[in-house]
Amino acid sequence: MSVLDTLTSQTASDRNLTTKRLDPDDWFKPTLDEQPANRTDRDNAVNADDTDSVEPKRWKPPVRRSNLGIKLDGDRVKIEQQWECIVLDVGDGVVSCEMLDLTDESNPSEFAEVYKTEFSEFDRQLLQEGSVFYWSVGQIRKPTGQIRRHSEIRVRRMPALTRTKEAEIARKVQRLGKLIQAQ
Amino acid sequence: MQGKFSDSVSSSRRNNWSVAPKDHELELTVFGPGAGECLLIHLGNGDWFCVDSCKYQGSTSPAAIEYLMDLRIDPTNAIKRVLATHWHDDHVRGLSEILRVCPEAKLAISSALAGDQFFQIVLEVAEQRKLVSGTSTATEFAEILEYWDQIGKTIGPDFYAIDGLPLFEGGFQDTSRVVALSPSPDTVTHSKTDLVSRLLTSSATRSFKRFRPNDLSVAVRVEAGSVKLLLGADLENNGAGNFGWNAVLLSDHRHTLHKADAFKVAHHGSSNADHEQVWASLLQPNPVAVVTPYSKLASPLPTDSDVSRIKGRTTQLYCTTWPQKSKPLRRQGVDGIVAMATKSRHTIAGKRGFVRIRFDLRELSPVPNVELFGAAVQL
Repeated sequence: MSVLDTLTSQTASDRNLTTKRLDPDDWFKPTLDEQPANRTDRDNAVNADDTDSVEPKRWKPPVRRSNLGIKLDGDRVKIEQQWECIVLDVGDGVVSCEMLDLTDESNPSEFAEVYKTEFSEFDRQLLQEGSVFYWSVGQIRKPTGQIRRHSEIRVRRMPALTRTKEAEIARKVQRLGKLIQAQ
Repeated sequence: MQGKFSDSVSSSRRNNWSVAPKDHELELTVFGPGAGECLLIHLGNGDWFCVDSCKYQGSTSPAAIEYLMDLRIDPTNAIKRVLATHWHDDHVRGLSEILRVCPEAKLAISSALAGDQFFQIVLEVAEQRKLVSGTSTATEFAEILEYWDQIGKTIGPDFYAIDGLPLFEGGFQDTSRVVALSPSPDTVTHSKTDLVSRLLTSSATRSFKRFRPNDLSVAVRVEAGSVKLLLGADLENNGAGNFGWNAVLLSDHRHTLHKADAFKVAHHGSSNADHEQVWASLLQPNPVAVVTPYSKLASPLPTDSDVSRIKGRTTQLYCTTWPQKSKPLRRQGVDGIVAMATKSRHTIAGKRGFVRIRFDLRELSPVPNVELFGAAVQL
């Protein structure tokens, strides 16, 4: 087998690798590690037939995997409800806001007074009338399979206007001013 | 094309629901879905005047457009004027669409917002909030400005409303007039000095203030035949002589006024918009009064004490949607978490409802015909 053939065969082998997709309903099931186990000496023994060595092969016990084949990856979050919230007022202990349902936009908007303690310290500093935060509620699965309720609030950081955009706005304002003065 | 307002009318009240007003009828229809307000006025002879704009939950079109379509009236030429009394988002939702649907309609806004500075504020805030799904005042005004910029529309001389400025003349036998009662000249001068801080929040991420100040609002007086209406917008009474309702009462333009037969109660019936002298000097005894609710508060407006106070002045008080709030949707697995994180929570948009008042302008002293639809009630 030439070097080129070897490379080609490796590429084809790589292409056969597929990404495993998780069914949304099965996300809480632990995933079995599908990586091949470490090569044992028995495998080495088969390959050894091709060599010219005459030494007899000694049997070695297989290497035992430490995690029993269960892949302990990170937490998995399932969002059941998400709102975009616009702050109406910031009081002593609560933040008054209008909640727009992002999960189903046909649902009516709601008014809520959210406790400030629900916000991180960094986010609390950004709270003011007109600021926007996102509230996600759902479930979180721990690597051990345990399921817990999940709530996360993040305040949106608004991008500052670029100089180009500011100049564009200034030109538009000038045009609009002329439309009024035209009367 | 059929609108959607027929959905809001209970079967027992459907009889005359979709009958358009006759040329000799003055109509005042007040829409108020719980957080928003729109007034549609038929001034006679098919001339309509629209004050502010709102949308009902689940509707894509502004309430005014849907209503006219249900009456089988083509809004394209029917609406002659649109007035944005102030910039709060509960009063401007769908405003840009009304102007696109009605290209002949002229817009008027508060004179306190005159000048390029307001346009600049609107465009800058709208640009920053492009990534936010909820619409806002800036979004609506920016869309209007974008539309005008595209078509190169020249804006009318009555664009900036101020005390005493006629906003419309015509209608029934050319007797109909709509005249601005506010803002006062002093309010306008005062607002020019610090428009940015009065309109916007102070931080780097600027946004429009929601609740204050409302002394820049445009209250109007409608006259048609022998009927007079007083539409209070969100004008407040801040106690100072040349601002808010005090300025309206002290104005040089008031000495010729006849008292109004019907009143759109100012600022959702709140106590800070109430002025005893307004009821005594500008309104007939026991006038028809209509209030719209505002439920983006822990204690929605009008409160029980507001209702009691207004009912002490008139027995004919109507509300477009009642109660002002309702329980939020139930979601299994979600409610528990939300309940622990919130002190209070309620649904903003109430049921569809509106109040319609019609007067026969041929009569010398016409009796108002008040009709309630959907969730509208007499309080």
